[in-house]
Amino acid sequence: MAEKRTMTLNLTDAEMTALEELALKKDLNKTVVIRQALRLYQMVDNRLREGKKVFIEDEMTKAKAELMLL
Amino acid sequence: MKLNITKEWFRKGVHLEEGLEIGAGSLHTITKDLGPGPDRPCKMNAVLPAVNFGQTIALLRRKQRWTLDKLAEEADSTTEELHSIESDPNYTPELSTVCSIAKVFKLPAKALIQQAGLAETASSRLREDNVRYAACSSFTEPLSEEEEIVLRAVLHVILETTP
Amino acid sequence: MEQSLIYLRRSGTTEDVEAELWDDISDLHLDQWKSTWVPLMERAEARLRASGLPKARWPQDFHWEWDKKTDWSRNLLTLQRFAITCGGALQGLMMLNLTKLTARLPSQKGKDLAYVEFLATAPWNRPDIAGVQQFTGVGRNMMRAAIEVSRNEGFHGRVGLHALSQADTFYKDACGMSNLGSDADYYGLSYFEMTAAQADKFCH
Repeated sequence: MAEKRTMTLNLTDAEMTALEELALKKDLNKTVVIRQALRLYQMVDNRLREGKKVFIEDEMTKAKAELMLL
Repeated sequence: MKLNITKEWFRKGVHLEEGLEIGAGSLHTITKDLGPGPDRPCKMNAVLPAVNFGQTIALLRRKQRWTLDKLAEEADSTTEELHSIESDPNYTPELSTVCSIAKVFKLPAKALIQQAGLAETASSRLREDNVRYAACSSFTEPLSEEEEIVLRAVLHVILETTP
Repeated sequence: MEQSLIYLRRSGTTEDVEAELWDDISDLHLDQWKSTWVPLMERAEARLRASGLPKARWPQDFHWEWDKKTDWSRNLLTLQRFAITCGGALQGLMMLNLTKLTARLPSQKGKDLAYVEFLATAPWNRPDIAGVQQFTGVGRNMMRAAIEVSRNEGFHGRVGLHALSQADTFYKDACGMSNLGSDADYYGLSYFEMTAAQADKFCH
């Protein structure tokens, strides 16, 4: 397994609550939630840099909303 | 990542794999699913690309309300090949597939071959025709009014450029 | 890149030989893919074309371009690659995606899992191409690797994949995964999922 490095993460109460809720809901520990978020963020950024658009589709209506990353 | 896989564990279940296929994954022929993806939803846009061969096939298929599987069956092709045709403008289809598709849709094979870029003397009319199109092609929903117009225009060009 | 000692079985025997599982696909592996797998796949394709077998029944991964897949995935954290070698030859390749899908089984719906983007064994290990298999066990080892990645990532061994249509039996019977049926979004391929309990059983 790749060597891991440690960092301190400063979060607001609201951010920590969101992180804890996600961890509980997803059955993951908080570190894994952050790592998953980083993977997704990198993937989305990669696609956008390739000139692609990222959409979220409503499963029922098939309506699509573009995911905006500023 | 270092794994600790023992011979005893391996022996416990390897016999179950004997004689079996194990392939898994996307059917996309290149990195489409991972990379520049055909799965990306298209969006109506003010500046639209000219209709290419794959988009023409997608429109024809959707006009019939066929899935890729259904067209694959009709044209003796494969879902993955048709998916590549419809979604990858750089994909070079097989001549036999283009002929089969032409037969299925009762279109002149020569014009479709030219549009697919398989003929050296591709019709300049087809290449330069300024028909514009912006519809995502992997669905089987009915064509929109705009797509109907696009399809009619494309078929007009195809039929007109065939001697 | 790290390697782990694993075993493959000479098909039709009970002889198990030492092999290597690599936690990435190297340029050397890609060279081997190009020089050894591709020519055999092309020959097999030509044979099938000549035989008149409908394309729908050809092996579905004939045109997978592992060099492009690997190149594209190298800088992405979400994609992890594996290779198996034995006797200096490339025997199997796999790519995992850690953010592609979430679990669909009701018992673990919405939970993260390791999704097998691509998994293939060498043409000489494939009964549909070679007629016989040289080695058996690439699938078992790769699935074990997928489970271990899932565990290391905190996904408790949950794995998901779409099996190519000839491979349903392997994932159902040899891996003990749940078959959730044909997935219209993936060309009708069967979607299989492994729970933490199934992973424990598989690894036991």
